[in-house]
Amino acid sequence: MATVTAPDPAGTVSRRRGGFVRSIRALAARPGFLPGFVLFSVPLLAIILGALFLERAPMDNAIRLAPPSLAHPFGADNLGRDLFGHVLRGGQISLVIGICVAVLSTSIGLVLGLIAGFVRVADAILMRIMDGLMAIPGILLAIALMSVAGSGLFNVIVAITVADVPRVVRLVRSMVLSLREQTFVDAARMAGNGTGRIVFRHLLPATLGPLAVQATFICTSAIITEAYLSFIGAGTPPDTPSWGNIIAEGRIYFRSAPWIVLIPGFLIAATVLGINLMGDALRDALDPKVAKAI
Amino acid sequence: MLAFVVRRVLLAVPVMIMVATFVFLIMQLGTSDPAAVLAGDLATDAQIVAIRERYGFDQPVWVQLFKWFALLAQGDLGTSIYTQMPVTRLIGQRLEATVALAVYAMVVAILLAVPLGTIAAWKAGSWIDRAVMIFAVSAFSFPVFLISYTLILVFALELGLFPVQGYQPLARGIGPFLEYLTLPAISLGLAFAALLARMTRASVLDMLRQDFVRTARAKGLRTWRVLVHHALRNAAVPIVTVIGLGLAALISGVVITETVFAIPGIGRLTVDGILTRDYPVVQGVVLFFSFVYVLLNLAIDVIYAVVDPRIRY
Repeated sequence: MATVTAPDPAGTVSRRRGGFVRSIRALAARPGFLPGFVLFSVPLLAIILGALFLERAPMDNAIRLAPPSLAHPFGADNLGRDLFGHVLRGGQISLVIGICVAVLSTSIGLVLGLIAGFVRVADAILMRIMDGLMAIPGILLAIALMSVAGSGLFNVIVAITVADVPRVVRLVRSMVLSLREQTFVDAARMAGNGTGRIVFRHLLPATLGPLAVQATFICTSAIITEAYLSFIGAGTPPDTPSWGNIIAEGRIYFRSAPWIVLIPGFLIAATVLGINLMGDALRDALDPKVAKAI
Repeated sequence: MLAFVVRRVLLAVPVMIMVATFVFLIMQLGTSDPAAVLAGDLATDAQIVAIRERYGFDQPVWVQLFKWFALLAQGDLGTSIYTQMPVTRLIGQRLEATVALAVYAMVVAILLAVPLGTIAAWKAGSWIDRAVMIFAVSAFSFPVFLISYTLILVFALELGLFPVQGYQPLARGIGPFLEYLTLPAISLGLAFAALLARMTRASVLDMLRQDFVRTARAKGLRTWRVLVHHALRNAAVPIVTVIGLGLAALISGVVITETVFAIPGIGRLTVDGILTRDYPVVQGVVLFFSFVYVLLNLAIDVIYAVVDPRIRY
């Protein structure tokens, strides 16, 4: 039976929706996406539920360094705190840092990269600065910044962002440099579009896919860098529990209570592995040529 | 060739100047009084004044930067607040442990990753390939301290095969040296091995599709000979570049591994510097590691040109 759908002369709505569903299907079909999604979703769900429903448990001397049990699934730490709630709260901080660093460094990197790719004078200066910043291994740059600025959530986010921005700038710049030579940019220019319009309407959308992939990797490396910084005493302060912080505090009790280190450690690994697998799937879905080569 | 090496060395100089400028600026912009930071929490007013004069902090910024470069050019990285020793001497004392750990980790990574990557490429699509790739993605996602503590729990505390912590210098014999350094080297090497295995697989896979490999097979050569002598040999160049990419990960790993295993190296010196708020030490180590990083990348570029005769700049 033939049916006539709602009037949509150009078919834009259905085409767009169809395209979106197709993209999601293509992404989900990549091997690795589903395990990645599950690995990431489980800790994420636990962290969200923990933030909504878990009360801060009082310190209880009776359960000091208690091993994992039914009453305390993750055991307890040296101060008699139930680790389940403590670790989930730590997860909030670690994820917030990962997401903030990813959003900040891709946004700043995108703007600087577009400038470097389009303005010759700015390019020479910007890229020399970026080369210098990239010559300092990321974690050391963050350590240098943190040792001057002092520990704190905001400082950690800024320090890791500064270390990550140059990589994004390089990526965006190289994409802009190759895109601006393409015929569709010439066509847009011949059609009378100005530089601003070409950048925002034609170049920017083309950079967003690879940038999203890069953002997933920045997010995971920020989660790990935060854990490293807190582990060596240059990260979030002790009253702000993050996964790295909990591991740093549990380090001296490793022989008698290894779960304090191992449980948050495995949660970092699961979250990072999950996001990395999804990032890989996204990259492959966006660029099938790379998928075949790797 | 010589012209290329000279040009590449000259290109590294401005990068190093830029690095030194950044470290200087971090100290300038991050605090209201850099002299107080360099003097430490317990310094007297006289000591702060002395440091202010030494680095010229009461003078215009460009004079300060010039003085900073002049001291660096003489190999002066400042004096530790906590031990009152020159930072260069502190680094020198700890160099052996860090170099030993990094080299051992690199050896572990290469011995593990190159065969695994080659086999994965040879059996592409099989369960072996999938297992190697799962290893590669996982090992790269696991934080170094998780691998370290898991190895300590299993091999040191449960099985008692290795000591839990500590370091024995090479001078006391190769036996104890390796005994203490094996677990740290595996912890540090695994993430590197993951990166290397992935690249080896991609690179060898690319070579296996080439005509000369088909010719070698058609000549009736054995599989291992085709793999090792034809595919792996030609795949070596991209693998060498990955070693350069992984160096940054190796340096951050050194800091963590030395902390977990209580190895008295430069990474541990960094952490002690942070904990005792010994800013000159932190600054000196960051500069030292960054210079080493630039120089190693330079060395890799040169090796790259030597390994692959097609590359002539």
